[in-house]
Amino acid sequence: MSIQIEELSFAYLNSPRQALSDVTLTCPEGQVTAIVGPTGAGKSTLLLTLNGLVPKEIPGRLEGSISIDGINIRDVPTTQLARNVVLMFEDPALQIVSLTVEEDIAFGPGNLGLPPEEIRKRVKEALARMRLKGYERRNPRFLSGGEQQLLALAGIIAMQPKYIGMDEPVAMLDPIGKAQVFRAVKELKEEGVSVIITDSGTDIQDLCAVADQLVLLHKGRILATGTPGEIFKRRDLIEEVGLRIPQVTRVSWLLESDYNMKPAEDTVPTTIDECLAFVKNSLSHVKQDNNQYVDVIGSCDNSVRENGKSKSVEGDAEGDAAVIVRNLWHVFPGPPPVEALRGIDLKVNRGEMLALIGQNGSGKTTLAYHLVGIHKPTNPDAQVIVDGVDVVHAPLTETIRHVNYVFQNPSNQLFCDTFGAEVAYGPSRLGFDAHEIEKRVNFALEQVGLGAYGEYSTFGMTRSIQGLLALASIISMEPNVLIVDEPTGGLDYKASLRVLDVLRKLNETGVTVIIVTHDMELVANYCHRVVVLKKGQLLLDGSPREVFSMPEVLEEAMVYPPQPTRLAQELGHPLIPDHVLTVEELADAIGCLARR
Amino acid sequence: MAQFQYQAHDTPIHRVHPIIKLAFLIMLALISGYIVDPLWKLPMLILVIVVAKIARLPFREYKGLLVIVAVMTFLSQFYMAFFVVDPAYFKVYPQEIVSRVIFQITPQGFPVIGETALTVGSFIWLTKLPLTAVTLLLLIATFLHTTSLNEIVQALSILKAPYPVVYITMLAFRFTPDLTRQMHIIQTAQKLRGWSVDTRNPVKLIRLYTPLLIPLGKYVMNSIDVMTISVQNRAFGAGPVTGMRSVSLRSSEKAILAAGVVIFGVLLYGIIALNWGNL
Repeated sequence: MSIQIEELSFAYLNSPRQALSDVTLTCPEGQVTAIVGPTGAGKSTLLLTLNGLVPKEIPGRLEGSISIDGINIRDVPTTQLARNVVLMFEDPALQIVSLTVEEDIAFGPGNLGLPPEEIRKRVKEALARMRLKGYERRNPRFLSGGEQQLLALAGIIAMQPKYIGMDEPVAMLDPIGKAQVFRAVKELKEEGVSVIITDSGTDIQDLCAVADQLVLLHKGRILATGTPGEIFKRRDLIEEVGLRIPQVTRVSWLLESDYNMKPAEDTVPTTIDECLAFVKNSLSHVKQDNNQYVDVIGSCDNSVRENGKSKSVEGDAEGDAAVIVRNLWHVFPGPPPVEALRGIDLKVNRGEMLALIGQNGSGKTTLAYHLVGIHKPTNPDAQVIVDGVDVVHAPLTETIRHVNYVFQNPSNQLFCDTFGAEVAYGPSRLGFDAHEIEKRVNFALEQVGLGAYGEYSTFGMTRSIQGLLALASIISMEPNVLIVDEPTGGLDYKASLRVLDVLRKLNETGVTVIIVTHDMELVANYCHRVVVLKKGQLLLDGSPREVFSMPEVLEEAMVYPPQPTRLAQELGHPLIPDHVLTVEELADAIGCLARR
Repeated sequence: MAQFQYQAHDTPIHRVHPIIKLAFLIMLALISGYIVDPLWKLPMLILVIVVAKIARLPFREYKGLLVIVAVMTFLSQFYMAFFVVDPAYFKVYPQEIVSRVIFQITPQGFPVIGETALTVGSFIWLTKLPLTAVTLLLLIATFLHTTSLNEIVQALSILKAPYPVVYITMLAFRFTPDLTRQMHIIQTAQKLRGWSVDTRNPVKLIRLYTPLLIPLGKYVMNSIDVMTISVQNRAFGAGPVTGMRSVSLRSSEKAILAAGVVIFGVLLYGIIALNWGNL
């Protein structure tokens, strides 16, 4: 019993490019198969072929065969295949069709024509399995992202398929949501359901913990198949593809290349536990000496490699502040009223790169909206001053000359025919003359690496180019304070690095950058300072090193430090500081110790 | 905001079979459209308000919309009312009452436009549209508030509605709340790029709204694509649809439906043949 894919090739209608080429793959029953690869690799297309949506609903030229439990899917309509194979998509909101939780779960079984008593039974079971009991009459729109994705999964489980395909199922979720979905995947696997998950690398760390088989897809071709450890052992291949991999795997790569510490012959660690075992084993000969603690990182040849984050931005005087927030409250009227911000006090220095982190609903976006003047405080004595402008009272047209905001989804703001026109829109609305607009457009496009694209059509842009263009369209307004919502959301590794480099360059020119994010690797590698929000209040405020060295406090906000920090903390070795931030720092600390 | 959205409550109206609700919605809407006399319309409106109250419709959320609709429909017909001065328009109301002038604008025989005035008759005529609009709005709101999407799909399936009709109905229901939210996000994003409404020229206004309409259009197209795939993936269109509740009408429900159809038939006959509800 399995899904067998034989020499599958597919090209979308009117597209000269093969989206899939000679794909041969087996997805065994009761296992989790992860299909990973950068954006455009063909992951979603491959998933859509599993229940016939490609090519039956999304036309194109398909060659080869797919059989499910021995039945060729070409002989079965999609709606009938839905009894065996059901897919879950990235955006939970777009797969929820009903206005109550129980009705939505009942949608699939109802379409299968099951009797009402059977539907009610399955709804009850699915609610219990996805821990959604008590939510029956709730409107799905008011659930968190994680809960919405669990609801989508509950709707699928109620159809009792043998195979579930998940297309980037946690890409839009916060850490709690991701944990909820991956816990559900583990449980499904234990119950014998086969799960096929696609990922562009964003959530590879969590995926490695559940995947039995990993398939590396690139430009429509399978480059490698094996366990995560076997695949990531092939460093050259991974680096050529440009895939994001678990940080602990990078630690082991560095330990092997720089310190000759070799993990097992044919595999590398891909989870914290695996890496922990590898490191402990490698350090078993090292004599512990508490007095040498401080020197471990600093004494090494390669220690504390330059990664741009070491710059600290001092500034205590209020004149140095790019942002001053005093006693900011925001209460959304109900019913029931929700206190989204509860007396926030915050000062951001000029030239800082600051991360706002916290769970969904912690108040990050509400605070960011206040900084740019979209929201106004609900208490009369609040102060929000950004780049010297009293944002509470200034008109938006004035505020946006000083501070601006890049939305997570670039398609919310892009509408022009050409790159140049898109970037020129903001400055033209601000009333600049043609010469100044042209200067700003050129500068902004250069900044994001799209300098040659001014006259290019915006039609058919990739998601990463859309993100860069959206960023350029705000850079051209030359704000001194730039707020960016999830800059790496929905991007693969290469595109993420490109966007982050743009932000770093901007920051180096003096722009204060505030990033709203769930990506702790980004925070550790790029930000000078982190502000952790919890239930509308500031929980922690400090450098990434300070903040991430307090895992117990962070846990209150359901925030977890990046993998190197967690690994160091779990290692609990007296000679390895628990505030290491990056892969390089940890590898150097471990490597230096091992040489002793 | 939960206007025109299903809300799960355990009220008698929520428990009514979706086909009966659909049938009564259509019959009441037709009757409301045919009747013009406010003395008939008012009891109908009161009946709809009572039903909406029983269904626990959140009136507070509709208050603004109801006022806007009532005022707009009143104003949209206001100038026309000045021309409804000829007592011959009125077949049921006594001529001496409907011809009573409240205030005169132009006298009889005035060049080109003739007599214009607000009479008791024209005032009664003027109340027709706001009352109809408010009644219809409350009827639709109550139907949507008490009938889940699955029930609507189920009802249309029983009525053997063609697949595209069922699908388009489903999309419309599903996307109405999302579109409002998405429009707000897009508007915010463009305001931060300096977008504002700074003209009253209709041609310029259309161009001005381009930064909102193009992203919204892309969102709608993308959403419909994803949604289409998503529902097919969940076996939508596989065959007869069932739900959490039985699809067949019970005897009592059939009796209610039959009684409703008979009353509707009688009312329709009275309106057409006996001038019921006419002015």
